[in-house]
Amino acid sequence: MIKIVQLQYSTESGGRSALRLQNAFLDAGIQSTIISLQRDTHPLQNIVYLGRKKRYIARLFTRLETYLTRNKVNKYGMFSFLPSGSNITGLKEIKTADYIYIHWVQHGFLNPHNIGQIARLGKPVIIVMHDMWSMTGGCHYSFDCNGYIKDCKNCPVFIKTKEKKYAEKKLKKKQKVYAANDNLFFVSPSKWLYNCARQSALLKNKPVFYIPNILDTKLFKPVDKKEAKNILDIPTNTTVISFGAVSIESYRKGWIYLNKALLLLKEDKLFTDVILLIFGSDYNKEIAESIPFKTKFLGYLGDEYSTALAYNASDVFVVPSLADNQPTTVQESLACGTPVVGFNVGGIPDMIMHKQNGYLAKYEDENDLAIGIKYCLENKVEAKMLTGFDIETTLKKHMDLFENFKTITKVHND
Amino acid sequence: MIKVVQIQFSTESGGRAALRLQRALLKRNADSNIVSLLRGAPGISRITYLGVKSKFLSKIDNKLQAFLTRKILPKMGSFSYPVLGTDISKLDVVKNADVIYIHWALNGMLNFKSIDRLARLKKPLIIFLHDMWAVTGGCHHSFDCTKYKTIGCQSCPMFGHTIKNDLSAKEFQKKQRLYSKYDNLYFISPSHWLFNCAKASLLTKDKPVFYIPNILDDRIFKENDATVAKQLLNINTHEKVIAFGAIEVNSPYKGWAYLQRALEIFHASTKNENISVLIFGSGYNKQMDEAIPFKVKFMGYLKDEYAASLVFNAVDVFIAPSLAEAFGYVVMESLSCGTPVVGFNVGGIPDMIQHKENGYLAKYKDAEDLAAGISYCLTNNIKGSLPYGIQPGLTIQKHLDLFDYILSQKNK
Repeated sequence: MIKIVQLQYSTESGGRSALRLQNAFLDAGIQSTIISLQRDTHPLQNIVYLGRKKRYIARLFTRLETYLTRNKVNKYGMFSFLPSGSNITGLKEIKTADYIYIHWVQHGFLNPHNIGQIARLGKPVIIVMHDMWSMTGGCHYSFDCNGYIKDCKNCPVFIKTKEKKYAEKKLKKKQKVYAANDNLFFVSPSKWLYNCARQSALLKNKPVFYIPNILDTKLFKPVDKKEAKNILDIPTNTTVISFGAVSIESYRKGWIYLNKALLLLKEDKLFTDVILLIFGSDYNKEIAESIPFKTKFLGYLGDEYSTALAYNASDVFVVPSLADNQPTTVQESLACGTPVVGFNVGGIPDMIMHKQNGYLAKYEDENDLAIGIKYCLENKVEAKMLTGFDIETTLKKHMDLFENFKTITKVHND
Repeated sequence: MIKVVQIQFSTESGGRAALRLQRALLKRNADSNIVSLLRGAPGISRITYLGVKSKFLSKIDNKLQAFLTRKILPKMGSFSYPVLGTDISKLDVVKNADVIYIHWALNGMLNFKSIDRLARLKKPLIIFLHDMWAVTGGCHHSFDCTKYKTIGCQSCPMFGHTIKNDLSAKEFQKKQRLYSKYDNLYFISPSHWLFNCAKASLLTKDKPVFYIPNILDDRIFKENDATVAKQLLNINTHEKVIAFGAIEVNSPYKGWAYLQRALEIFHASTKNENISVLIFGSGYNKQMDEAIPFKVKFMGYLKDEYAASLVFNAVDVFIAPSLAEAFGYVVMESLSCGTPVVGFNVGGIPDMIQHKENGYLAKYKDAEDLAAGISYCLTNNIKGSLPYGIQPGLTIQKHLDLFDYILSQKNK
């Protein structure tokens, strides 16, 4: 029987994709364990949590990193470059695994050197890219910078000359690790990131595969919209526009564009009885006051059942991200039958078919975002998840990957 | 506008009381903040978390307490003698408050000295009882021991010894000194049972004690379409579902043995094939799965209130087999969602279950009667509802009235 181990910083938010993949593996009778740096308040099954010491060191380094990168240009978001991390090759779960998946492991869990240590075990290592970090000198999203295609010289994330060299140096380190190990395989959940990888200096000669993230459609599915609104105490004839407020402060998540788009819709006759449903935050005065409509804050939704309920209660979901890999929110909303409006960027166009199950707005254009919201509501766009994102198809792609490895290893042995 | 600060160990499980009260106060235009030792779910506003130093103190305190109470067998329950704690009287949210609530703040968050420091601020200090700890020499539930109200705690039966001046006696005296030193201490009990304990305790019988139940948001915990709730949770809509919260099998407070027996009795008596059991708060548990004669679904730990409300709406009867219960939040949540509850006639449960009206009050520790209750609720299609006395609108008014009363006393 195949044994898989997956490495992931935590099981929350982004970490859910590892958890979902694991559940799909387990349901298919494949053994899988997650190794997580962060603990869950209520420990989950089939997860190994690393000890306190490793967490403590990771936290210290993350603080140091925040300090060292305090001068960076705000819009670029996170930049991870410190050589902080743990050697976890001694763990029983790693030793006994046939395949090792590495998901999001920054913030002091694993550095490129640790990834090299894992690779030297000689087992196939599959790096699932949840952002651009694996192919850049440190940034998680490069936005308009193409430095990663060549050498990350003169990094625009920083202003000071000395700091501008962080990326260049880190890129070389990653290059060494990647060049020394030919058992590293890369998976991109979006076509956009796949293309970035194919161009990048680091990965253009490495095996890269496109496999979307997995979603359980038994959890995310359409139910009676009126009843869903009822459950959330929203009048059934009120139009519900929803969005996630996980990181309002983040430039990348594009809140300012959504805010502008909503202001544009304020005068529209169609928008007389509208409520903004906000996931992920308790009542927030600043957000509430900048929105020209009624608001309802759902707080942090920790359970997938309630997330599915919230999508079902929505008439349209807006994802104003300015850079994103394959936002699971889009997939979740579509699976619940709720159309999605987002910018034509990153992995979003993989999932939204313009005017079919949502609206792809012109990049950084709040006017078009507003038109998209209106379009979906006026035309009562009925959303569906596009094909290729269901558990069966995705899981099969992973299985094909394993078959692929067997052939590769065979060639080697011969 | 009145400013309230509420002190609470965490915002999870028991800590929800403070969070829910805060949300209700804010809706009634009272200001409220929470001070919590542990960090809970993200996205909670108006909350101050204590720092690394406090958490470290709390960990050391836990070790020290474990040593002090090492003679107590786990089946005897919890006993707290707080050694270390954090002085939070200098926090801005505390200094700026008009009224201070202390909820459950043990486990190294507050010790006697830090409670003293809070009392010394001369602001009304309301101790919200979530178990018996504040009225005993240290146990969280005294069960059949009555020393706290007769001779004062000593030779505590939990330790299984006969030393008169033991830890419970020391703690009892400490509390006596603390409580008698201040006249700005008030106590709230969420159940009639605990109110009576407090009125009878030598520690608090002369103190002002009020009965105010716990609160919840009845716009979240309300009756909804059961079919949609079942669909969302992937439960067959034709199934009759019996639910309960995960139980630590060996806990002296939760009656797993009675519940298990009751399910067996009910299984033997029913002819209905379409019955299943749903357990929330736990992932798959082999021991429970094998001990239950019905098909079992484990929901895992539910992190938010909407999911909890879905579960209560999806099930047909809820069982709360607690052997000791200061209040019983799950009972309230279930009734508020229109789902009847079967529970033993103990602690705060009879405040909420009206026998054969919104559920079934079984005879204490009687598995047969518990089984009869399940059967009664299912065959008669009993509907749950909140009795008048614990309705949220009334409860929040009681808090506001209490502020008026206390502040008018203060001005006299």
